[in-house]
Amino acid sequence: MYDFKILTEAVLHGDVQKAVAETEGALEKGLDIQEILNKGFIAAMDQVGQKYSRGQIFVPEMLRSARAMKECMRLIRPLFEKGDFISKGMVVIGTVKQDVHDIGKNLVAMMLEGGGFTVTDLGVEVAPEKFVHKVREVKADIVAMSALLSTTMAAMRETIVALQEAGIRDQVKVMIGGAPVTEQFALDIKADSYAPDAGSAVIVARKLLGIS
Amino acid sequence: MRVYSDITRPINLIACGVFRSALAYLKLEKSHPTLRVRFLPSNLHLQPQELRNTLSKALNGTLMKNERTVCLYGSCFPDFSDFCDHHGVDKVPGHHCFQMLLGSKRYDNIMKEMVGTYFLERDLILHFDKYCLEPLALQEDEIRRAFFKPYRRVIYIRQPADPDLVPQAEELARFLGLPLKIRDANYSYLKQTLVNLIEV
Repeated sequence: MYDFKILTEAVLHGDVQKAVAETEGALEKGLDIQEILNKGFIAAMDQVGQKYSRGQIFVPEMLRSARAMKECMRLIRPLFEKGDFISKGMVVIGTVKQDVHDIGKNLVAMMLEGGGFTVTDLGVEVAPEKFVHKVREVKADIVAMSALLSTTMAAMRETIVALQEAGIRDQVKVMIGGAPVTEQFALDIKADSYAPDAGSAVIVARKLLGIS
Repeated sequence: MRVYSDITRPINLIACGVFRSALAYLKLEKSHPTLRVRFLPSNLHLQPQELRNTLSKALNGTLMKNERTVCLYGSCFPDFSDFCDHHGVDKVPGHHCFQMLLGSKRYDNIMKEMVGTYFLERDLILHFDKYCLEPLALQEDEIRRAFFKPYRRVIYIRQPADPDLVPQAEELARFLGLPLKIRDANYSYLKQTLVNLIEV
């Protein structure tokens, strides 16, 4: 039985070298890629998310962990093509129209990737029609929208309306977040969920798709 | 809008430390003798949950004494306005302290002009190391780029009683790799907004 503790600890502490070495070791031992993902990366990033939500770590630590995880993912990503990887769901993410702030969105994207989701990041200043187009193209399960400014929050509602008008609102869950965004706002604009921080975004996404 | 009638009832203004210099300059206690101003440390922003807890304690203290309270904060954690409603206190309108210092219209115009604007003011300039550099690990190029990639310029909001902070603002702008602009705050919006709430 492989002990994933060293790998999870390495990712948790953002130790790229150790995390990569452990991943290589696990692959050499012939471990199942899904097991490495679940018991290694996802378990580690779950802890990162929880610690962040509890205020035990801060953005830099989260970034370092995400960086460690990404380096490890480089090693195992080529194996995905062999069909070893089962994605938890397809997420299209972006910062809404007229908003250029991306640190929160990037953290959520990293956490979702770390949580086993497949993420298509549309970047910043994403117009509603661009969200709609990408949701259709990749058959997204979730649209995740971020806004840092109170003045750009309205674009979240516009995007949801655009999804409705395109006739695909029922096919995709919408989650929103960002500094000025609240649960009440999510209810008002008929989003499916609200994530108060990057740490809880993965939990929210899992709930939306009924994943335990 | 809550309706108050007792003008002798103490009014508490609980404010973020970022407004210390503004409120010292405005001297609202002179025109409103029942006003008591209390500041909470501005670095609580680094830990939103800690800010919520500290603020909650401060508000509960005033509410137990049946005193009116006005909260001078931006939307510094999610659902800040709901939080104030829940505690039965008035919050100064606005999401950002920069908006309150500059006035809503000026702030909106600046953001319309260039949404990628990073703001500096006295408190942040004087404590940049403690509030940003160290906790955000901005010495690391990669992390600094992650944080500041969306920004195109820095605006230093110069307040009436500020010492000469332009050299520090210039140094910070250089460190962040962004051009610096200066805008002067005159507090007219802040004063009017506060007086409106205090005199309800």
